[in-house]
Amino acid sequence: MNQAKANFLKHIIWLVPLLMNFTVGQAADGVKDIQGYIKDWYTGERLPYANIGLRESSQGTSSNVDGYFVLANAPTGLCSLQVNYIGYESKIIAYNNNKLIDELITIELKSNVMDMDKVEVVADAYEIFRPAENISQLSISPRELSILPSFGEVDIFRSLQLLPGISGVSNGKAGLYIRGGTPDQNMVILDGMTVYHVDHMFGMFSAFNPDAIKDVQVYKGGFPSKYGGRLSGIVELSGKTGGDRKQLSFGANMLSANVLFETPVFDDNARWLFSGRRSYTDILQSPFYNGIYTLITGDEAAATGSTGDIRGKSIAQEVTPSFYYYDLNTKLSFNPTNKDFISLSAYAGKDLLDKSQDLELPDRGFATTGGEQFSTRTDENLTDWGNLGTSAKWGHQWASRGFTNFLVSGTKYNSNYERELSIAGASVVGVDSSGASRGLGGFAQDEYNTVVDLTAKLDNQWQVNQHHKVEFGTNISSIQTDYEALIADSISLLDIHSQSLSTALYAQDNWALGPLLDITFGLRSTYYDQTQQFYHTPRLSFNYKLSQNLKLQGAWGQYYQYINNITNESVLQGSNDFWLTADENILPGFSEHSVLGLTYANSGYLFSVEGYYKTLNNLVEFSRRFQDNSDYMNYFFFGSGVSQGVEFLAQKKTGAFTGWLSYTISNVENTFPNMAEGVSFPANHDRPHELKLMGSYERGPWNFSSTFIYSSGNPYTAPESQYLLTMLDGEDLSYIHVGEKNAYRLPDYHRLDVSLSRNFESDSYNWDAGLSIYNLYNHDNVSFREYDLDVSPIIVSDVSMLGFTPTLFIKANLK
Amino acid sequence: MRFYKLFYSLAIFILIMGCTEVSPLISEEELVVVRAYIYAGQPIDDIQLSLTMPLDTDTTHAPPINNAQIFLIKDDERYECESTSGDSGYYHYSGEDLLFSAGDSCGIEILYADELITSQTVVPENPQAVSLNQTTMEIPDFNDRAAMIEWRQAGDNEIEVTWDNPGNDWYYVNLINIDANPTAIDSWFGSALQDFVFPPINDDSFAIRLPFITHLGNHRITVYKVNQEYVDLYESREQDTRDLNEPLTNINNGLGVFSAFNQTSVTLNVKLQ
Repeated sequence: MNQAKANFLKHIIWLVPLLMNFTVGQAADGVKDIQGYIKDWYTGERLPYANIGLRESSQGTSSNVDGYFVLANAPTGLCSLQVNYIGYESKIIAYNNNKLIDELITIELKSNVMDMDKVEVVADAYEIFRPAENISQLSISPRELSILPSFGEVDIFRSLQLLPGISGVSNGKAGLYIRGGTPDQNMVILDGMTVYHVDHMFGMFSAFNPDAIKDVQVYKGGFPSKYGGRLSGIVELSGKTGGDRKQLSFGANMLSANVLFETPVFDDNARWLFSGRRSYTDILQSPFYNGIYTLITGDEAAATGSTGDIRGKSIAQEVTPSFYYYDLNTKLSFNPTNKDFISLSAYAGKDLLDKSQDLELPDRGFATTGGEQFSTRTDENLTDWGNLGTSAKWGHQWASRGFTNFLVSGTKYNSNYERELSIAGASVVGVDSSGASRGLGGFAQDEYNTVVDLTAKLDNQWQVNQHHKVEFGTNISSIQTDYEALIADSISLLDIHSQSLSTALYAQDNWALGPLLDITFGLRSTYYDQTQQFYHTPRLSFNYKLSQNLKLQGAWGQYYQYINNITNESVLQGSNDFWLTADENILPGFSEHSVLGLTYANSGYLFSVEGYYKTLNNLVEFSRRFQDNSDYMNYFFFGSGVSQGVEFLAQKKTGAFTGWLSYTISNVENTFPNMAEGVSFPANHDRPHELKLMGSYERGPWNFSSTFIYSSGNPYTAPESQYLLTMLDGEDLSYIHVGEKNAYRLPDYHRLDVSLSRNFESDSYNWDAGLSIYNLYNHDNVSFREYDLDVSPIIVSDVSMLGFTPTLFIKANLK
Repeated sequence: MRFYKLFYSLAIFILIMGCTEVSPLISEEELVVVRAYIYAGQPIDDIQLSLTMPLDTDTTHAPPINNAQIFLIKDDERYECESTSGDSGYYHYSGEDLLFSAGDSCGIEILYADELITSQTVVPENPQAVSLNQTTMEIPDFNDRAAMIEWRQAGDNEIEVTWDNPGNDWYYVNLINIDANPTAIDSWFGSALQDFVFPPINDDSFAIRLPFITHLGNHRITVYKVNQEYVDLYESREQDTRDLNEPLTNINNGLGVFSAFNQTSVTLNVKLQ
């Protein structure tokens, strides 16, 4: 054992007495624990993160990821339990907490009004999201997202962008920018697996089929010690386990079709779920798809035009890129005993783009400037990227107040770009000693990126008493990243390989100091082998009830990130971001969050304001341009950033009309000593003002909903003047003089989307159909500004996002 | 219902507020652009000054600067250059007491419109051990054009020029036919001669393939050793419009390049078999 590991053990040894102190709950006279599970009434699906509280007191708790809860030391006798879970009706049940009966209760929730004894419908809750008990944590109901206007697909991440503090960027993609952080600073977890590539179709849609997801928890900052490894946010998705009855549902829209099947298996002792989604964009290219494709790639999805350096006449060629994506989820879960829960989950998602094309001229070839002729040009251009992941989890209730989850997972992310242009008969005019082509002729470029993540987690919960809820555990992750950029099939431009191991221990206590105040304090300590250092990150948060409806909340925490997503400029014409683990050269990123908020909530409305201040260090930017390529470290720039802002939220939660209004004022500034002369500049995703409105009106089987987004335009760097330089061969080359980094802003962004849907129901099925319109008033939102620098005068064109775009959808469930 | 009205009132308000237009073209101040090349052992006559131009201009000629004061600095001595006649923005040094050779450090100071623009470079060594794999190339006398094209396309017909490069420095290769009235290999190539310059490479060899040999006669192949600032000009040509960067320059308080070169030439004779 080396010195570093010995120190590590020494650092965590203080945890032992803390845990020993809490290992035995104190049972007093007149009190007894209430424990059980929260389930969906219809499907039997267990519901995580539901809130359970005693109406007679302020005592409450929440169910864990497996739907299990324990209310420690609840008063004996008749009591009322109130249960809330997003997307379901709140429910109050009368329960006789009899000291002589040791039972595990099951509370079932449903969205329809129930006519049951001892049950009272508290409110017609119809919420898409709900602020959780902890500050900066939001619970999202995937099943309610279908009422939102969609962009062809119901999309979890795109829907999250409607929430306060979470932005998209103005190119309309599904990536999440949480409180000034970039998407790679968010950890996305699906059933315990870390997912590295979270979108389809070049970022237009998130890679998760909402039909297969039952719960989404988003932490915008100040997240607890259980989570680590990212600087800005956590998005935790829990996949459906499958319920107690057989169900089949399928749906389709203008891009893809999906199917979901769940059934009990093994004599009803286990449940199996399978869902799949595939786009048919490689078979049928709708105008909607063509619009998206052109927006993202800048190419026509099916273009006819002249091609290549053709002397004498223009030659028409039709090019139809083939593109499709798919994702698959499957999960098998069973309970070997009533205290054990085992699940096996797998996920696969992939995008494939084939832009290959052949051009042939049987009777006349093309001519190069050297006078050579050729008759065939073959352009092989293939890109694919995706994730493959699997996890196995064993949940064990080892005491009435103790629950352990042990999880092992493996994730593999692949991104491959291969392009080879060969010209039959053409001569390459120059070749350097490495064999790389110079001048005319064919070329080959390849980029490969792989991330393999093997993780084991042990998470323990121990409800010590009604005042203390302790969580502790460990997380061991081995991450291997490989990135290679090649030209001419074998000449390596970049070949970066890394292998890292991080070992983390965490512990935290949620301490109810009284009916008005509770605090959560914890520590996460990580040993990272690449830097051979320990990283200790303390966390602290509190909730203070100022009145029955008014709550003051705060959080503070420190965070490290050991892997970066490098945004690669399109020098080799690919969409080639890649992942790279931190090491002694690229140090782990560090951030510190401070959050303070005030929330007023009653049964009908919620108003909240939250302020945050986040510092970011060891940020990484990557550029291959203008750098000495003898050492790949020359490509990296390191800097820091500050993100701060205030979020306002007003939400109407009940009634026929529900919705919310949120406004965020914020500022994100970065400073890189070797960029922009070390002067601070607005981050690429800085949007000082952001206003979002969502409204939904329900009348019978009809639902009308609308969303409106307004935000400041994104900053960008612009050329300010041009100049000419004559090279040694007499050629005049034109250059641009560039203004200060991100000194200009694109026009403000705004968009109104609407959706109308109807539900049809019978004894054997129910189905939904609807129309959604994106950008109803066809506003010309600018995605980016393009400068054609090769002509004089320079041509400036605004590349716009999608305009008015109607889409239809249908979804059926067979009962 | 009040919430309902508030929702749409705000939407309409923001819609109106959001209708702003900005000009995508930005016109800014003029900056001095320097293009100054020093050749080892050669007279100094390749210094040119101009101004930046607005983005929306349709002119292809940069506004020259003819009234600047330019000093070259060698061994702490200052040598004032003169403006070359005509409205070209060119300057030269007319004395015979200033020649640069390999290893010399060279500075430049430019005074224009109360602005001082400076730069510094070092004259590189000339390329060593420059040689060709063949000094004479014999080309078959083709009667059939198709046969000629096939012969030219064969991969093994190339002229390889090599040089020493122990320091992984940058070079570029220039090929030019130096005969007064060269004969074209085939009428397909016409009479126009081409001066081929390849982009800088940090290598010790370069293979010139046959498409560049279009005429018979004597060709001069020159290997230039260049400094990093000149290489940077080529590197700066790649611009991604979504993330623009200032082109690299070694000019302080201005734009452009101040660089020095040293070269070695060899000769290739191309004739018919």
